[in-house]
Amino acid sequence: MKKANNSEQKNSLATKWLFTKNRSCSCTMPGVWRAVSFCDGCAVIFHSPLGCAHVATLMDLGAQYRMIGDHQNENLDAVPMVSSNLQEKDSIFGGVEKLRGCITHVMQTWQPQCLIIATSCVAGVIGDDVEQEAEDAEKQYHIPVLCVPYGGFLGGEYSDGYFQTVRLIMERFIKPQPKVPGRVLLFGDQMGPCGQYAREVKRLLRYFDLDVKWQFPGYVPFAEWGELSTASLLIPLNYAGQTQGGLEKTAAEWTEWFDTPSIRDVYPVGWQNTCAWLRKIAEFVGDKAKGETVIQLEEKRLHDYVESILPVTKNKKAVLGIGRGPRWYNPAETLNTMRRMQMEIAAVILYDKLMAEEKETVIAAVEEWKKASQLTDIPIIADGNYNNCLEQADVLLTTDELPGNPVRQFFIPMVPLAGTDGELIVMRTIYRLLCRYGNKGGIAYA
Amino acid sequence: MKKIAFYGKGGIGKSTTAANVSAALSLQGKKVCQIGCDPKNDSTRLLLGHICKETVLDKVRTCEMDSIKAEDIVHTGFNGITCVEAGGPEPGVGCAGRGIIVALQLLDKLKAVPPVDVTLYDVLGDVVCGGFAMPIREEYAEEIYIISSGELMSLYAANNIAKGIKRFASRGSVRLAGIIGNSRNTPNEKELLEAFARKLNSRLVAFVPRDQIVNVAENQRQTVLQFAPESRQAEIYIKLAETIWNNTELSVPTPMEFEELEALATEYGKEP
Repeated sequence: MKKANNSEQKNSLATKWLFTKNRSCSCTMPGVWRAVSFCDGCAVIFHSPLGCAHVATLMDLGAQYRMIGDHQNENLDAVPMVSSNLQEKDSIFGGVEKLRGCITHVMQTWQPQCLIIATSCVAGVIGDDVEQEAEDAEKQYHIPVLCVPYGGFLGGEYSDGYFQTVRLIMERFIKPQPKVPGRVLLFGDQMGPCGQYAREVKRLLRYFDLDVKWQFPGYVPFAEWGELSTASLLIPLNYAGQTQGGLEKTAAEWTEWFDTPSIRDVYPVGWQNTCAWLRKIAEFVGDKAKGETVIQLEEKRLHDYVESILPVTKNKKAVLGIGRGPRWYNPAETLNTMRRMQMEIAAVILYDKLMAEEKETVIAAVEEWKKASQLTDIPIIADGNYNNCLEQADVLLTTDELPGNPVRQFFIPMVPLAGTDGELIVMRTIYRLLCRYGNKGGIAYA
Repeated sequence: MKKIAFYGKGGIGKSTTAANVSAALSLQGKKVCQIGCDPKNDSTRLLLGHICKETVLDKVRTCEMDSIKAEDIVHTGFNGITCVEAGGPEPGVGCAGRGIIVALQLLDKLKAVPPVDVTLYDVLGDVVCGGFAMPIREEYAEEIYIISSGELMSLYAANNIAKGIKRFASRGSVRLAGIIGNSRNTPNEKELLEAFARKLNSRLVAFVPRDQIVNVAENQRQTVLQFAPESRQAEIYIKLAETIWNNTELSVPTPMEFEELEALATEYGKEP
């Protein structure tokens, strides 16, 4: 086991400055916040100017709107998040006094059981010794104080803040222990326990008598962190893009450190992947036949639904528009859905926003799908001349809204929709779009 | 109004030279303001007769910005010289460079410095960050003097400062006004400094010999001009002040690569 020495590194990280290959130019602090934002008993301090907290607030607001848009009655209380309110003076004379005052205020006001401190660019540039303050606070208040001193945008990005917070929690609070059969730990966020992804995974796992006890990291009360390793199965929730690497790596460490099996090589996004994922679950519970039965049941749901919508969707001219790079989007699943709905795939168009390398990769992925599906005649338009094509299309399935374009558009979700329900949601949205009266355009979101 | 700045390696004698030059200029009838840009706030000690206790950043730290008045941070020293110390954080905390930026901006905002003939900025050490480049970058100072001895590391710092001046000269009026030699009695020191200045596309405007009278005067919290106005060293500072006042030979410096600098020091730095 490669765990760090707790006594030496409880508040510090081996690497404070991360240089990642694919930068998204985001800030580490909202990542820290998101990692514990609904962990009852925690409080988060941004050692930062007040404006930095605003970013996290907006992020939460966006997530809340998405949940409302998904008709979910999410009722989670976020833990306190307080900024130390660094100002001009503090950038000159150092901000540790402000931080100390902020810690005192948080302790007196909320009495958290665990404090997490993230540092901003300002704190990073002026070199405030936040780790020492964290250690002092720990001694003074007799609670764990975790410090993620990445200096806002300077030392890494959102996912670094998120996963390094997870890592600190793992190092500090979680130990290997006997497993409880049937107890599952979801790992990742994907809009939380009320999000479509988590709901669908829970539904599918119930077929196998597997019960999701927690969703880590953001949604487990501090008091229960110590029990997390009693889960007998870890299920990472698929992330798009860069965070995927961090999720897989951290999930692999969880498996290694706490002897918890995990399913990391396939995720239930898109029907084919869902089938593969269900087989993995069946393998885990030692009942492969059950897996095939579940797949048949779910396949029937899909089939029945498709039968009901075919009168509208069959032979409709559909175009797939791609402006999302291969790190965030795989066109194969959308193409499979279009095919399932028996639409005529008129063209695949690539938007100019894709970089040359991204275009190459996307084209290769589409060509591979065409070959495997024996639909080699579908044109790929990568030179921007797609207006004629869109004029003749009944619907455009697109990663990017085309404002003002009269074609009906289905916006391919940024957060992947999981499992059978995810597939049904996508098909239902496209079907309803096609049912709209006349030739009106508009954009539909799943 | 002349706006000049003294830069140079830490401990090379910038503040001492600056205070003596300010004193000499004021004795020549010029209205002078010396602004210390160093958290140690010791630039104006010899002019005030004590370490400045009320620096700009002391006020920033203890008061609301809007409540600070010019008279809180502007002091009068020897022969009516206006003295300001930017001040800064305690060693090891905060950002002194940011402090310089805030202090200079506050002085501007308050119009704290009265009309003078010469403003002299005495800036900490090397141009270590953007904050300490502020007097150059924002054209608070237009004529930059680099103080150096013949020691290699002092020349190295001077060469680095020249790089900073060159960078900002391309977009503004800041220029290198010359090298002021402050002797450490190294071999062929004056010749080396002259050659060094030529390499930088500048000139050695003065060579200040080492003299104990400077230290004795400092111990008395006075400039040489005040403590021993008839001394040989006082004459040298007076001449330097005249040179600075009359200097129109400003240049965009041509800094060297380190190897070239090293070769220059090796060439001149042999025992006689």
